[in-house]
Amino acid sequence: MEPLLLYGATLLTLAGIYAALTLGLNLQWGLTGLMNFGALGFVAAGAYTSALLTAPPSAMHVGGFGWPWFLAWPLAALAGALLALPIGAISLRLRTDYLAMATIGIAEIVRLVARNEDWLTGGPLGITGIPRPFESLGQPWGPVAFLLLVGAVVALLYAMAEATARSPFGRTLRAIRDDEEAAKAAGRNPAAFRLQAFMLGAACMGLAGAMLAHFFKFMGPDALDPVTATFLVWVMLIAGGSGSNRGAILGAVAIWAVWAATDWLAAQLPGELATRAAYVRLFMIGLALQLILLYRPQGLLGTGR
Amino acid sequence: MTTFRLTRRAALVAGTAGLAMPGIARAQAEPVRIGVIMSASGGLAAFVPPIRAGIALAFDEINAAGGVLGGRRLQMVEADDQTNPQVGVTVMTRLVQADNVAAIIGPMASGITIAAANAVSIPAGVPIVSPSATAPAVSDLNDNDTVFRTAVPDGLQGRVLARLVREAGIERVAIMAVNNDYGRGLSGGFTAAFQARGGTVTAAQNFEENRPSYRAELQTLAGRGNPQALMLVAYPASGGNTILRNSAENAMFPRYIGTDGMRDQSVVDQVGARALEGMFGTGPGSAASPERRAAYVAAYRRANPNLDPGGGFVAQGYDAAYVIGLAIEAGRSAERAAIRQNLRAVANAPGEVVGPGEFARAKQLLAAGTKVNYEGASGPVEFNAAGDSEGRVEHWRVQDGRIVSVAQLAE
Repeated sequence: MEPLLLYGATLLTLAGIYAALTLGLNLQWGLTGLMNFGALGFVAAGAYTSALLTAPPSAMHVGGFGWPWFLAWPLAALAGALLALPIGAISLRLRTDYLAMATIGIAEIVRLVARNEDWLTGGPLGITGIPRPFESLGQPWGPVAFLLLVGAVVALLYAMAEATARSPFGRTLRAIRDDEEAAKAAGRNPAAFRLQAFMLGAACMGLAGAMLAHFFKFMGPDALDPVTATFLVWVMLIAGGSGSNRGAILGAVAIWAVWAATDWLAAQLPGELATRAAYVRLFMIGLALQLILLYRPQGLLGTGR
Repeated sequence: MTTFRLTRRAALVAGTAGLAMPGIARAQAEPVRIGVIMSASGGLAAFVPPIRAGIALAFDEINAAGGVLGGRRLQMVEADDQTNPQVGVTVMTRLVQADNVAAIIGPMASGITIAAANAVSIPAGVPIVSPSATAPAVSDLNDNDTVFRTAVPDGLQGRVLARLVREAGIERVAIMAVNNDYGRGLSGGFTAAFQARGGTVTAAQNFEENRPSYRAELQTLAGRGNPQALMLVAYPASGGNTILRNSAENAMFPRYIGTDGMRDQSVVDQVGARALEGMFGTGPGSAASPERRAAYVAAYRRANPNLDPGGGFVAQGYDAAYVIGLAIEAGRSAERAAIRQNLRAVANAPGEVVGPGEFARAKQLLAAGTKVNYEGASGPVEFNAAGDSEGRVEHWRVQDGRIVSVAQLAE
């Protein structure tokens, strides 16, 4: 029974980390209408920041400073936001679809930097030995405590996102999303508001990246996969209902459950089929997205306000 | 109402049947679950079918010999890591926690092995035996003696390849290596050994996988320092074949040198035999005595007429399954800790030597209290203190459109 409980905790932890990512994307796309296809880049910034600050000293990369996680995580969020600042300043003037292209390119740049700047990131070998919070509690309670921590972070981000959406700031963002000219006529500066929303979302993604690195206890360029870090997050947001924070969380949990269930289902197939089923997983996620877009474009919980 | 009564009666019957079944028989019939993590999709996917068949063959032989622990079967629980470390961690978590496996064969790639072992199998104390993780860094894991591999680490391969290249009369080599731990580690080891033997690396390039074309990189390499050959550290599906094809189309290099990653018949089939004639390289070797190797090859061919028993890491996968089966039998327990403690005992000398296909004999020996020493299809399989297998490196070359084995080398 205990192993199954632990497996459940693992799945929920990952779902929670994805929920943080999806909340960040919802701030950018759902609330402000910024089409960011570069979540991967901000996840990487946060993950590497936290990994380098907390890992033990190593000759393979800069530092390993051995900091505790609670000091490193806020800085990881800051790293995500700081990466978003120059990118946003340059590219937010682009219209939605061009912004999407620019962010894809930037995510790819970040990934290649992580792979090739050995002195900073350890290159393709990555960073190992990242401590996981509460590890010292041992096998049954350590993972449960980490799950509670992730849950607390998601709750905090959710409260923050809700407060943002309700505040005058959030109303301005929606106004810009829906009719930029009208917002301008009302005396708002869309560029500044867009940039702030972009950085806020990127901070959430940086924090999610930090949690991811500490959960896997490893960060490397091979772990930065556009399918799992960017594409899956979009599926989650659209499935849950972009614009709604609760939808973002629900979408993350639901799609992650489907993703994990397909892995388990594939393993039940006999012999050769089990290995071939790997390709069916991606197909099923794509199919789910198509069906949602066709039959329920507002997502599971609707588009919020 | 009627339906309800019927269901209840059915439940009662089922319950009684369960009670009537002897408890011991049920416990014996319960299989021992062994996790198998392969990169069934992603960059390493081309390697998987023959390796998987090798592991399945070993399990079939063990089960045909009556299984382990007085009649329990070994059951393969499979997972695909998509050649991605994060997915590797997730699926290993599933195997360890939900499927409750006793031991794990895999993962295949070194980076995935390090990530998944650190996050999952080492804390849980699950023994893992990788058939193909070759990076030297795997030896350095702080693993409580849980991480083993039947593959030979890359340091040795780099040294052997450097010697072979010099012996072929080649002095100037250009290197194109996949930009990951495997490519960089192996090209670095080769470069050091090659220079020590008086060779020159004219230029080296780390390439990104899955690009539509590598002509620009190849042109740069070919134009610098007049290289006599191109050494390619790559995987076939994620760039290796494209590089060879690009180079052959423009006749950029007169000769090619490969490593274990490219030792695959599909490379020759897809790029064309004429372009690759004279290509040679190194791969995971076999130090097995000829009759042990022959027993394995014959059994493999019977079960899989269309797959290559000499393919990269195929024999290593087979041996990984065998040592796990033997360790369970030797420790008389499918507990993770017992398997861990007995892996070295059944693989290393001294002991009565048993080989591929001899599980029944090994069981008799173990039952009689004799210590066994498994000498496998890939080599003697002796685990050192770091859990690495000390084995051989194969020298292969392309001849008339087939990859043929030339020799098995130790240094």
